[in-house]
Amino acid sequence: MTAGFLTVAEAGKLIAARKLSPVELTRICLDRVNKLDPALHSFLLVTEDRALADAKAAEDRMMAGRLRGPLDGIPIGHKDIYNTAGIRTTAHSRLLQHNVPTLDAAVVSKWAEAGTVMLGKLATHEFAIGGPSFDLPWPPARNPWNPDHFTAGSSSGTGAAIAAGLALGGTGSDTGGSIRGPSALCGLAGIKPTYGLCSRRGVLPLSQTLDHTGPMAWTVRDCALLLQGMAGYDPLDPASANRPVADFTADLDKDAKGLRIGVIGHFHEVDNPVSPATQQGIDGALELFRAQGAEIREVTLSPMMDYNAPGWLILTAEAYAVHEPWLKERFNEYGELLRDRLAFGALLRAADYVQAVRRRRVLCQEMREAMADLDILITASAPAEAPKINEVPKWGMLEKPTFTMPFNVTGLPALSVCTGYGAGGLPTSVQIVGKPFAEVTVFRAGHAYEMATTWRTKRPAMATALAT
Amino acid sequence: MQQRCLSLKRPSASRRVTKSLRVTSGCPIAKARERSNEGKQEVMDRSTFSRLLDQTGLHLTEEQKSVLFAAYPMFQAMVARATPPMPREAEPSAVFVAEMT
Amino acid sequence: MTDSKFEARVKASGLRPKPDDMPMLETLVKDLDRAAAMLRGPRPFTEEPLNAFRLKPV
Repeated sequence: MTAGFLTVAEAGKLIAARKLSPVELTRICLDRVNKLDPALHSFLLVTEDRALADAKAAEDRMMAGRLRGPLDGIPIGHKDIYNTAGIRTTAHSRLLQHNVPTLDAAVVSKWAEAGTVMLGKLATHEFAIGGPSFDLPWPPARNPWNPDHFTAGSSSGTGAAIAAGLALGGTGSDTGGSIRGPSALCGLAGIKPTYGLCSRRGVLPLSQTLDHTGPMAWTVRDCALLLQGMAGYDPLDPASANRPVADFTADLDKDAKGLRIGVIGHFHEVDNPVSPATQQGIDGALELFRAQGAEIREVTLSPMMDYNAPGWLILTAEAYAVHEPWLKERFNEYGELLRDRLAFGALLRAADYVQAVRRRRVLCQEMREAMADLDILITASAPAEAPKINEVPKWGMLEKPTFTMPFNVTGLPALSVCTGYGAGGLPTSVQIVGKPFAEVTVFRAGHAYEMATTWRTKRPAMATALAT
Repeated sequence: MQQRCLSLKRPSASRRVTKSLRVTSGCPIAKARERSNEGKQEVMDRSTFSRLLDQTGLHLTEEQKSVLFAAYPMFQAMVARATPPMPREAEPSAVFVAEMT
Repeated sequence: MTDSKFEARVKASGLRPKPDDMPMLETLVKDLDRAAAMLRGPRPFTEEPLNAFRLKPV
């Protein structure tokens, strides 16, 4: 391997052809972690011995011609709310600083069985809600495109580590946008799959009816490969969908010809107007899809805040219910952002929660009708390029609606794709949304866009400086 | 009034539910809803808010209470927006399924 | 009427009971609070709600 950057797909092909040693690939990743992570803080724990053991096992399989598939020998990291047997899992919180689970999360097991190499545990916002925080035992992750800037959250470490080339892929979780936000601000591809597609068992809960697990990677193809390794029915997760898993790479070689695309223009033009560079990225994507033969229409839904309000209400109520015992006994051991955001849960009335859950059904129905004769929806995934990390408002989610929450509320698959670079070289993005369990179509559109653009050839300067 | 609001299109119960919430401007019931939601956002004084928090069992300093008090109107506005009156057809999105696994 | 903690709580909830009913209501709520406290904890961190959010493919 050269000192350049490989995607999951590229590395998998080289390993399959015995042209790349998983041990060498893992050592390069660990070396990058050592050199870059003191500035990025993307890892809470580097499991070097485990990584080298995983890599050696993969290499043995490679030499014996018994590789397990395209993820065998691929170095990855897990967000630190995924339980890892015998390996500390903290949720980036003082309360779990010494927590060592006895069982792997279901998704961690699946990726391990697929042959991935676990590099370590990645930074998150505290319990996937409180961040970026400076009053926790570990600092928040920094954006490799400019370390003064925010990664978004809560899968902040996964976003930073993959963008900088420290890992080829990683797990995220998404309750209100925690996969797509960091993917957008760090310039990655990241998918929140359909609710129920991937098991949440063994992942520390935030809000059970909104929590999703999913992968983040450098490209859409990598996301499809990584999702293939984590999707599937889990009888021990009550929300898990008992249905066959599609071949997520099946339509990647088709372009956008014939796709029926709905643009929710009022989300990103009126409800929360995006930056000029973000708008330019969305316009460019639509132009490209149209040129490939897609049919594009405008779609009008309820205002984006109408989707955000029940989402945040449900999230606050369910998260408070999870944390109530500790909030009562150990309030000040949480970081300020988490405890303040969740404290409102104590004041919520049961009737308001029920009404929000009723409202959710109405909004699901509205979205379903809007998509009846469409294949995908398009809007922004973030309002603008990453803000400075010390300028992130505590109550941002109450002040302006997010582009991601509507698809947690409706449970639809939603993918963030990089559309270029705006002010200061920070990434911009677009969000592609599909019908329930139609990840194949979402990946098809995202991959068509990536193949027709050059954004995937550029990495953060701090990472390329190290590579040359 | 509710029927007038819902009678714009009646192909299915689910469509009626969606429609009833989309057609908000100029609809009498929608206006009533807005009034009802405005009513929910009663101004709460600092001492009442503090007493409410005391009831929750959380142990907060006065400074922590002040921080929450300052943001509480935004939270109340979100709650009001999330909970407009809805027609009977609007069942909760999370359902109890008898055949548990 | 003195604005006791319970009265403040009732007021904040939007309920407007008759003053004569307040003692009975307060007793009832205390019973419910006690029952709720017993239900509340301690519970396994990963215990899921009984109601599930389910999507069907289109």
